[in-house]
Amino acid sequence: MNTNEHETEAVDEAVVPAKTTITIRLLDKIETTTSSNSVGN
Amino acid sequence: MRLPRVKFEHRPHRYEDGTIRIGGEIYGIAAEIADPYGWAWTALTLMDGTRSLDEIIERLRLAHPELPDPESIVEQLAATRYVEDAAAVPPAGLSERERDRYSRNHAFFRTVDIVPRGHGWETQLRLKSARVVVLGLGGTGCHAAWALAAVGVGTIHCVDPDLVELSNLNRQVLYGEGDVGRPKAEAAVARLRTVNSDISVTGERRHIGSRRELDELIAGYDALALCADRPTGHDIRVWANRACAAAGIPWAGGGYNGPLVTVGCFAPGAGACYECLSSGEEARRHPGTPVDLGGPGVIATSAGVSGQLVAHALLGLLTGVPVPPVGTIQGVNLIAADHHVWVRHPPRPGCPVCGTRADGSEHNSMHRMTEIDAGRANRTRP
Repeated sequence: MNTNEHETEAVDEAVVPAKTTITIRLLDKIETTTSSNSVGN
Repeated sequence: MRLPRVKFEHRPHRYEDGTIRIGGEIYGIAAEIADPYGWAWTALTLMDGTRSLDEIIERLRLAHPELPDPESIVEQLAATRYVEDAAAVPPAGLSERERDRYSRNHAFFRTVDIVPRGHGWETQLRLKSARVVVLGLGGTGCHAAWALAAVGVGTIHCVDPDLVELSNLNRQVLYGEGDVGRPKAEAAVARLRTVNSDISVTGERRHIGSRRELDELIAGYDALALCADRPTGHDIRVWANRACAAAGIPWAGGGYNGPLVTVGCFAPGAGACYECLSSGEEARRHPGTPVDLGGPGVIATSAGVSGQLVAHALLGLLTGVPVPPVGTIQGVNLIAADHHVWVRHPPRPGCPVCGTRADGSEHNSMHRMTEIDAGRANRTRP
């Protein structure tokens, strides 16, 4: 086993914490409603 | 980004379960953010244009001490289309008069842009520097040219061989009764200059009778609005397809067959070309069915939709806002509200304009890399 390689991997994991991610879901077509609009005057 | 601010048009709303709706309610713009702990909501609320990223992160940290990395939440939100930089300075390339004239453009482009920007005037600046040829000043071309002038395309060249006739006035919006008998190109240029004196509008009375003449016409321009149907609707489009591919510029072509209004949107190096789409449609036609280009029937509304769709496609091709449907034909059937035209076919193998060789490699002789970088058509000349 390559000890140095193993240690390198361990260090990488330690210094790169998992990021908190947010999920942004684009609306589907069927969710678009058209109850209001503007005439642009 | 110095002072992140949620765009006015995209202001968020929070549901009872904590889910955030942002960007309104329109498909292609709006989105929902799962936010069970309220982290994103707090961050968005703090993004009101008065705080720096660091200040927002610190406040988010104080509000949610359980959140391990508030900077991650803030950075992700600040990188979305829903946030702008309140500290961005309007560009020097647009005068105060232009910013007033195009203020509604600014709001529209800011709404539909999928790429985070600084001051939001980037799209308008691209339009100002754009050079477009409008070939054909009939029903489609009049509306297309008017829209391109009104929206602020910096240089427009109008071309048509005909004179204004009384029967044109039911739909060709650039002409009045006093223009009957006058060359269309001359009347159109005069009218467009009154629509927008901040741009350059030129024109010429000219018939394009060959591919070579079209090559000459579009040299030095950034895009072509094809609104002519002579010689025969198909031939002029094939010329446009090949001439624009050779020049490395995008083009859009529109028209109508009675109530069916369609526009094709093409860019070299991106998607199928006109000839491939046309071939795909031909293959769908029942064998023996004659090609029907329609009769003379057209009204102001069908011509208007046609021209406006051409102009809208060109805006996307020139700026990437909105992202253009390159390599497609889209349209509407004005007598069938549930009929939305959306034509796509793959490039034909070996197509000299857009296809691939039999071995799958790109066709080199006609290849022009056109990147839709944030939708922008950036051409690289050979």
